[in-house]
Amino acid sequence: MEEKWEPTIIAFVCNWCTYAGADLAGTSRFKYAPNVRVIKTPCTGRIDPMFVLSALERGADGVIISGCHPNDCHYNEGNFNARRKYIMFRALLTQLGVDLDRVTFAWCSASEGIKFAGLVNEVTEKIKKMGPYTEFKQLNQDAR
Amino acid sequence: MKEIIDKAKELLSQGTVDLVIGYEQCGDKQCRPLFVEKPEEADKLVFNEYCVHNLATYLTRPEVKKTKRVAIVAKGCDIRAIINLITENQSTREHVYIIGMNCPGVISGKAPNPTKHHAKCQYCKVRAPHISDVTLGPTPPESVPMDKTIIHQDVEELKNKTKEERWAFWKAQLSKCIRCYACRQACPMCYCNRCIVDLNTPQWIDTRSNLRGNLDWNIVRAYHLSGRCIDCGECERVCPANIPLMLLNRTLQEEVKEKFNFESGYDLEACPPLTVFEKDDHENFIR
Repeated sequence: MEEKWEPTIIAFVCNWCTYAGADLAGTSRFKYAPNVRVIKTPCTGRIDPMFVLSALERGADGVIISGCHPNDCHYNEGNFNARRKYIMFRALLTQLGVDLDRVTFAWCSASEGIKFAGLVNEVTEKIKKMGPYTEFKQLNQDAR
Repeated sequence: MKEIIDKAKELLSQGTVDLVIGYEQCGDKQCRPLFVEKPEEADKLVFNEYCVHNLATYLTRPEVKKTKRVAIVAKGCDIRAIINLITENQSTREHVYIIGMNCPGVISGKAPNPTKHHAKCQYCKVRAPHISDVTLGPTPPESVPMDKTIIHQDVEELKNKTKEERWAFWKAQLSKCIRCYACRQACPMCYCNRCIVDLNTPQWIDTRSNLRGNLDWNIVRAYHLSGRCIDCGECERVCPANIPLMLLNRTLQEEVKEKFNFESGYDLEACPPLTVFEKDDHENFIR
């Protein structure tokens, strides 16, 4: 029997807001798609655009980047800096023709467990409809 | 050119600077960088339309950094690079003596037979140096202000294509890359002691010349230049594979201009846009 394809979603989250939000989603028993792999970082400012590229290259079908709302950053300005970085990175990826629908950004605070669960479900559904991400994986095969 | 030679001799003999970086003729249609340490060596200095190199790239080299003071023959576009380096604390205004050259435009194209005028020179806003210690050369013709749709015509053309077409275009272009890193060596803004491509714990970028590594390398280089590229076009000029690297850099320049209203290399007091932020930065993509 052929196994049904399930997308792999990598979520880069900040320690102080979204990770706690994801924790809240768990303790509150909200159900969300098991496709997501959460990677905790100290702050959204730590999430280098290289992380996103690496994730997509190593088999992720979608990426979520999430952290504290503006003005809520534990380090005061990490998320503001991250926002500027990603404005630039998105412009670059758009020009290169990389599919930006696969990279989702969200502010999600420690009290928004339900938002996190909803976000994961929504992204999983979207990626399921889009199908596996093959462009970068193809590159991997060429690289061998 | 006599006035550059005189100036270099004067600076060196008075001890104002230890080193003058300029150009010397090599062949009919080519110049190359020249490092002058003694007044009597200064006779070789020239300045003409073949002086395309951006000499600001040498400012961050250790040998030049340890000089007491260095003079540099710079066109307007090179001065933008110098200013950007100063705003990034890689040099100081006191350390660099800028011999600004009035420049009517340089000739691009590969040696030994460069023919056409450099595209950047057509819309250059700094034909007369905007910041310098001394300005030499005849007053250049005023540049006509040009609309960005003309300046960035190729960028816009690419933008108007579909996602798949763009991906196919870049895959074809970047598969030519041989990973010689000439772009990095020529770029005045690439001064990291250890470049991300040389890091191996972890290794972010495949160092072999395959499409995955090439793509990563060129994406990362363009991204690291966002808000910093000063449009000198050296990376594209030195690229042995003729990859249109400036297409990526100019895309990001446009973005920085549009979103953060910033152009690099004009203001000594400015902060590089990716080191600062506004609380109300444009963010319609974040939920």
